[in-house]
Amino acid sequence: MDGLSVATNAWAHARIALQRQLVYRFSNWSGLFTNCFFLYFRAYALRACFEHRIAIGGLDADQTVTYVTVSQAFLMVIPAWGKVGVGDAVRSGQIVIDLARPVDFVSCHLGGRFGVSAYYVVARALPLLAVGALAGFLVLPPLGELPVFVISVVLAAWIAHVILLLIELSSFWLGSEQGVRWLVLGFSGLFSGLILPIDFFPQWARTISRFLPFEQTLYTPTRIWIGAGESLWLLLGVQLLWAVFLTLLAQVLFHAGRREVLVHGG
Amino acid sequence: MTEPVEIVRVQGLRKEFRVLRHRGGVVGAVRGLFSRSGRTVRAVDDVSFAIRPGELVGYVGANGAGKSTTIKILVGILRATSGSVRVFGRDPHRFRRQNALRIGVVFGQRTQLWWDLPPSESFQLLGTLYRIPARELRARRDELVDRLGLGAVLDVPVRKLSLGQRMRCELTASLLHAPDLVILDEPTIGLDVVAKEEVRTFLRKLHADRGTTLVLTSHDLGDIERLCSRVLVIDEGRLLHDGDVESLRRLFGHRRILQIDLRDDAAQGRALELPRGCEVLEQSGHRIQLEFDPDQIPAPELIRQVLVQREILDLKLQERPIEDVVRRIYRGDRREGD
Amino acid sequence: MAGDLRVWTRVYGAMLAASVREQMSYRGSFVFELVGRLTVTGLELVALFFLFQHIESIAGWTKWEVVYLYGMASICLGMGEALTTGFDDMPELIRSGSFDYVLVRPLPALLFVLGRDVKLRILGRSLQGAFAVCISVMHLQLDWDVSHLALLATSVICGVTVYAGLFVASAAQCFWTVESTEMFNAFTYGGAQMTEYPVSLYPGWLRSIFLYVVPVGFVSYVPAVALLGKTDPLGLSPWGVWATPLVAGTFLGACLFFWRLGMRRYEGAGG
Repeated sequence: MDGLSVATNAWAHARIALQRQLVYRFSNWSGLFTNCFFLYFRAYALRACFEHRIAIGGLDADQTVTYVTVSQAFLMVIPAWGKVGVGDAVRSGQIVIDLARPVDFVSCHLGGRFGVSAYYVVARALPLLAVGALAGFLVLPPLGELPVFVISVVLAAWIAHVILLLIELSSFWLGSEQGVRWLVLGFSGLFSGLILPIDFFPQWARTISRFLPFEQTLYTPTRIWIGAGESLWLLLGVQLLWAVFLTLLAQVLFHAGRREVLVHGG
Repeated sequence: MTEPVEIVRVQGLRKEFRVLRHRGGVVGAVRGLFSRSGRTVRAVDDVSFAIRPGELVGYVGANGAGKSTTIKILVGILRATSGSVRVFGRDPHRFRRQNALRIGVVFGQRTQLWWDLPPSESFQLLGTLYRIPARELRARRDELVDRLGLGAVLDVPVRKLSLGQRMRCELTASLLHAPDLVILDEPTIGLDVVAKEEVRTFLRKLHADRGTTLVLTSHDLGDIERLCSRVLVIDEGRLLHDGDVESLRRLFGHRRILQIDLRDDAAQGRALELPRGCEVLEQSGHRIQLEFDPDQIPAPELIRQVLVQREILDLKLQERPIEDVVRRIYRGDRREGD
Repeated sequence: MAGDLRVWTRVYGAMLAASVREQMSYRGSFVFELVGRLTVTGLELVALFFLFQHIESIAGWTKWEVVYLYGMASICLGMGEALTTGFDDMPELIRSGSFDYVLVRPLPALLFVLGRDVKLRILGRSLQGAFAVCISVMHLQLDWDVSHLALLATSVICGVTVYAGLFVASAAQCFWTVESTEMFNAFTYGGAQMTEYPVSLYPGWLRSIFLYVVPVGFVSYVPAVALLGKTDPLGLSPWGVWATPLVAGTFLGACLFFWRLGMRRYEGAGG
């Protein structure tokens, strides 16, 4: 599958997601409402930590609350939680039909998920950034770095969606991916920097984080927004490497799983 | 309290719903948040009937005619807008839980069984719920399982059962507490011919052996013809007919429909010669639909006569759809009124 | 009513047993999920420890005091969640029409739904919370007597009551719309998140919502102030402790009333 058809597929899925969300207007508003509350809770709690200190882990109070706003805003764009459908398909036996389709499964899936993410940029990320700005929880990045931030978000969404796919691919062997999902969710909550900026971690935990893919999802783009101390191109390069590596891993697991299904029956 | 002669008594029953009008567009949606405009729909309109113990009543109508609404009022799920309803001599809505102990309900295409548990466990839980003594529960369960041939599926999770198997489990579940009144809402919907027949045979036997009062809604005339002694027909909320099945049959003849696919275009060549009691209902392209009265011309004889005249690709024998019967009752009523 | 409760208790017990049997049949997945859920909540606690490597206190509360708040929030949310798992598939029940079956049972609808489905695994969060409360109490070296323990128990009961009420209200919302009930997450999961820290650090409007409208904050903060012997800048302390059960009970009553309103709507309009 070439880039053009991935893009077409993404566009088609974005439209479906948009239509669905417009039908479920109440659901959409209630999601935004809930997101706002979480944004306020985290921002006020972390700001309270700066009562007697100027900086924690190299971040000042403004950077920290900006970190909270940006990470909350892009939570749905770069999701840590979500159903891809492979697990259900394996359990119901539908997977046999999916496997027979003449399209590349992984890139096809990614295309669709990018569409959903694109929708959430408009429906969730931008409104939440606005809310954060109004509440005084947002410092804008230098204008020149915005394009880098956007590229980083795209790469992060890519990685996040492949991780979700990898979780469900485990159902080829385990029957249910539910356990793995929870395990990954536990680690990604901490190591994506959602609960706490990774800058606040002790050195040993930051080292562990370096070797996990999770900080490439929410943390890296957010860090770029608040001004990363490192070379931006280096950060993007690391993200790209992870994205390619995980995608290849998904391809390998998918084909192994396909053999499993074809040999043992769905 | 003395038991009333009738198990169900409905008088001047009326049920109205408010249907909200959805406005289009963003402006409409915002206005919808503040003011709600809608119209009132009468789902059931001035319906009266009574059911005596031991009756087997069919309640017929097209989809949306008001069947399910009536049923839901009888079991106490919905409140009536006006009119009086008595089930076991009590207001079914106010005494919903008391009546529940004496009523068994099956809603077709929905399940009361616990999806992830085997039926045997669902039965056990329902036994607890209905306060059935353990010995009684076991005896009744075994009898029902035996009659419905469920022995093999008792320990299989419900989600793995076929629709037919599940419906038989639903029947068992609804009868465990030996209800005096059994209400079945579309019990054969979605079932194949064999499964339908199994359900019908079981219900016939249940009625014959126990004398249980049965109320059955269906839009399948086969259910009604083969099971019920009395039929109520409802359309657009109004009761059109209340009488025995024979009187209904007089109205629609029990005419049937034969659909034939011909090799050649139906309009080509000589016109088809048809016997008495048979007429062309519809004809288009290769397909022709004949309506016939089996008393005047039996189906095999009709098919033989057509075969002599034309080359046939396929045949299908159908019951007349319920909408048709309802239409006919309308016409008949009007003719009587004229 | 007493008879109903007896039947309900037996159904609930039977459901619990059936659920345990069912979960044992998928043992591998069950263990994985339990470990996973413990990891989710466990790592939240780890994050708290990371934070307190940089600071001494937050809004005047020390590390172990905040761990206590976190543990209480987890216990109450976890048990509230575990008690109300029967409501999880309310949208599905309403959408498919199977809720009609709930209404033809000889038991109040609320009790039947409550006992319809019992999932044990959600207790994981409370176990985690209990662990956090235990270690914090040990580190704080409090001079506690029986009255303190009674207050602790009351605090848990009130917290569970408020969260359970929220889950019931969230399910009752399905009588109006079967769309996602994410809105209530702001108060349930959001409430637990918020009360992980002393409510005094939030701005007045936000604090008021969680103290007086959805009293998740009230039942967490007020007993904690009394139990840990904190000074209370909000002035809720002495009278608030006695009011806590009243607040929790009133809120549960409001949630049940909301459920009744929903039921009336369902009975009037039908599916």
